[in-house]
Amino acid sequence: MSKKTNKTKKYSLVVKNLNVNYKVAKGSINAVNNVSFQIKPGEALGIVGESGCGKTTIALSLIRLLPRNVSKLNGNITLNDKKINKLSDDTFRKTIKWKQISMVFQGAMNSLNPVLRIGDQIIEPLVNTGESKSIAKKSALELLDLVGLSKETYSKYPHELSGGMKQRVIIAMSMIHHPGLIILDEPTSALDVSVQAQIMNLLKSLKLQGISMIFITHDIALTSDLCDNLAVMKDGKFIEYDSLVNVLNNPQHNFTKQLIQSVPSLSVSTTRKISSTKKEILDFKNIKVDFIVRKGLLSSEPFTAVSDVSLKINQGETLALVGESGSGKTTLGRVALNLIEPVTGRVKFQGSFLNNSDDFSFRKKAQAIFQDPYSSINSFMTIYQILEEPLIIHNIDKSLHLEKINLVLKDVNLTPTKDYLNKYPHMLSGGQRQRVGIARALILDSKFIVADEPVSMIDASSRLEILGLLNNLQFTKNLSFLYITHDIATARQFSDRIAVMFFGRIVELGKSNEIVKNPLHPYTRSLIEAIPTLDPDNLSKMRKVISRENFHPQCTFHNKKSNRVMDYHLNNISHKCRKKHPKLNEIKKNHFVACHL
Amino acid sequence: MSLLQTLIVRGLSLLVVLITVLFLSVIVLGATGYSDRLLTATVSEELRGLRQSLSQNIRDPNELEQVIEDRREQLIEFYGLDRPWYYRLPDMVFRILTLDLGEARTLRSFTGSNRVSDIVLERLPNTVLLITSATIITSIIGLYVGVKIATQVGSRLERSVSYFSAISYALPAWWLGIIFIILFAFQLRILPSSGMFSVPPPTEPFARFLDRLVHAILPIFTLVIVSVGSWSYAVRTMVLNISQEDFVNVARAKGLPENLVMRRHIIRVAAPPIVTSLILGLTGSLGGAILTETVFGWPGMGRLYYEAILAADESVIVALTFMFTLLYVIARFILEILYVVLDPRVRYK
Repeated sequence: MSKKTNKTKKYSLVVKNLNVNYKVAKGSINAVNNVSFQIKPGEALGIVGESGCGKTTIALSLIRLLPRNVSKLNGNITLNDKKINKLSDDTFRKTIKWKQISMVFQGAMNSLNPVLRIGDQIIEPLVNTGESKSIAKKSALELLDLVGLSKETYSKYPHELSGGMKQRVIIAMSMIHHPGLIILDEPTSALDVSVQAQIMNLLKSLKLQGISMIFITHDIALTSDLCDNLAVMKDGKFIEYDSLVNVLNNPQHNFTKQLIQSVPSLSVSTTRKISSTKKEILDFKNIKVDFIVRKGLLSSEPFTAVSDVSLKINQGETLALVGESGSGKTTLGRVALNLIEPVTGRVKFQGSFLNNSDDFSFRKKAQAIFQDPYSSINSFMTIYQILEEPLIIHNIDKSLHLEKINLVLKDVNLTPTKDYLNKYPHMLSGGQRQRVGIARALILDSKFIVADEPVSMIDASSRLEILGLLNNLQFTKNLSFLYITHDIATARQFSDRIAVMFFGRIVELGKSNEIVKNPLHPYTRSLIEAIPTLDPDNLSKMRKVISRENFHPQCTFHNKKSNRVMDYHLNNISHKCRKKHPKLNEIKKNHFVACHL
Repeated sequence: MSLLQTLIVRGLSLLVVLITVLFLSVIVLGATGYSDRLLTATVSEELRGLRQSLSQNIRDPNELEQVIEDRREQLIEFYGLDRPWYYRLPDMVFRILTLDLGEARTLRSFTGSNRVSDIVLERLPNTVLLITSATIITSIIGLYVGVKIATQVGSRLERSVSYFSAISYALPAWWLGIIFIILFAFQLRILPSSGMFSVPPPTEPFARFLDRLVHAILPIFTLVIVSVGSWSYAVRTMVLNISQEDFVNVARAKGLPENLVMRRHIIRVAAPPIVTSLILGLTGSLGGAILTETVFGWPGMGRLYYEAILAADESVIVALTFMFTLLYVIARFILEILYVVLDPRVRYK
């Protein structure tokens, strides 16, 4: 470790009056407008902003990867008292790129070449500068160890790794030349909260070795984990740039205040209008769902995505299903919509069992809001056509169509409605598209809606608006929601009850406030601890991460072999947990937990 | 282990393809009555010859009719016409599967043999020579041009290649072949118009080789022209698709020189789909060879197909269908192996 610390050079960066313009069909766009900042050796600067604000463009201009349609680029970039923006492209490539400034890109899934081995991709820049392969391999193995990956990873292919492991590989790759400055562009988006906490801890430990960093994110809560200074960016400009403490404690700009407020906080009490009744709308009984996984020649084996889930949703209630990717929460949502038939168990909707024969009338009563507003609505149809389609399918009188569409657009606050009717989805922002998605779910007056991560792909500032809108609609129209999310903090704001899912089972169920204040299952506890919080004190401490140590040594979950497969078979400890899965027991009134301890 | 298993499964499924195609072609021949009509015609043809030769020796008309009638029954039994086609034809399928291709009714090999395997094996190398060289030339030009225009989208070169590719795709090979014959053989008189050899063929080996080369130029050139345009455009599209991936940007950020980025992070990743369309294109051009070989009088399997259809030689038609399917299946199997080598993602499924 000490050897590596010595290798790390101390780097400072000064950027003065950076301007970047893009040429587009109608003139040009000012993507970065007179931005100046400096990073002292070993410091980290956070740049926060919404999609399209120009934060990635800053990163790309520092490492000279701007797309071809740049029409104007000026400003001074000084790295260690050397003006690097005047260097020729070839010199820049040979001396600066990756050697002094490296970058961790957004989207761990696509940042690795799928047909090359991990090791070859890590050492590639080193070998390219003339280093021998064996020496390069040695330092790659050191780096894999540093980022917490095994030696075997070296000879694996990207598709054999999970998302978190890939992101670690990419971080290791960015360190191969021991650069002094690393640009991190959304390094944890698209990762589960528990993995996010692990990656943030890794980045903290790298920062402690003296590496300077630029941390680009849309999630202001993450910056307090890593950054000394914080810049808030809007429309190409730094509207706020100061030390992290000053920005957080004394924000000057309204937009910054809005961003800080949008961080879901667990301490503030929620104000939900509650209209739920005792009448149940949906009733899951002992649901089990298997998927067939092909193994070898002709054999296949079932993978259990959901096992033994019993749940009830009352009319006018929101039940949040919280869990990480692969926990089975989306599968359960699809069971609720009669899109997947469970292997065992029955689903009762409004008192009668779901079956395929009256699927058509069921579709009118239950609808879905999807995660990705960019792919869940057809971009070749106008908003009017998108909203009219369900009316046509369900034989609603044609004379009522326009009136209904206008009403539902008003409901989702897309007013004046005539401005939207003939627009195509690409003319709307992400938040507006999601409103169209909500309107589509509402147009048939459905009473039950499955909302699968409805705000996770929307900019932070419009998230609260969308959730508030859903909340109001629920109150005025007496809707019931099954709210599927990975984020227990928004689940608390938007739901009456929370069910925590882990490996296909419900491990804890109770009133939202009660679950958050008083979590009983170790997994729920670690999920709550993994929520990023905005607190300048975070800088000095590591985040708690979900690991097997969080579980009692005798618990089934403790002996998880990997992140995906729960190991039922290591039966060397005699404990009732190993023999039988714990049942959901009512510990307190309306608070159930599945744990023997 | 699992790799071997995968290959065995794919190999078996290709064998199923082979047998299915054979049965299908036999059912088409049989159910349409084509096979029956062919055989009846053959029988009458033989009897007509017999009647002529017998009428010299046998004076009594009744006796003559009796002998011919006996012979007819013999022949009908010999060809299996006394049974419906679905009893007769499966035997042929199983015979062909054991590579016993039987005897041709009218066609003969250049050496005079009537065994179908002799006829086909004599023609096979000619077709392989034509198709393989055309494919190699097409793929080299296509790869080079495709990659080049992918790096300069919107340039004049890129636009002219896309026009050319549309035109070349629309050109029928036989029409182009005729135009080339008129132009190069009859107007300019620099290349031979058809066949594989000059008459008489040169005796010295090197001169013989050159002679064959000169005869091959026009058919190969025709095949290349009609396929190279769409092929370069396909390469361009695949390379462009890959170059928009995130890892290509990462490779550039790593400070790798542009030619290495292109080679290792774009072409290498695009290789599986490129190789796929190359090999499927190769097998597809087997069909095109029928017309090209006919136009150029090239004595290959395509021309043999044409001759066998004209001569209504059933066993040659079925045998050729089998051979073309066999070539396709072999190419597909090579493709499966190459794919496993090129793309690690299919290895561990």
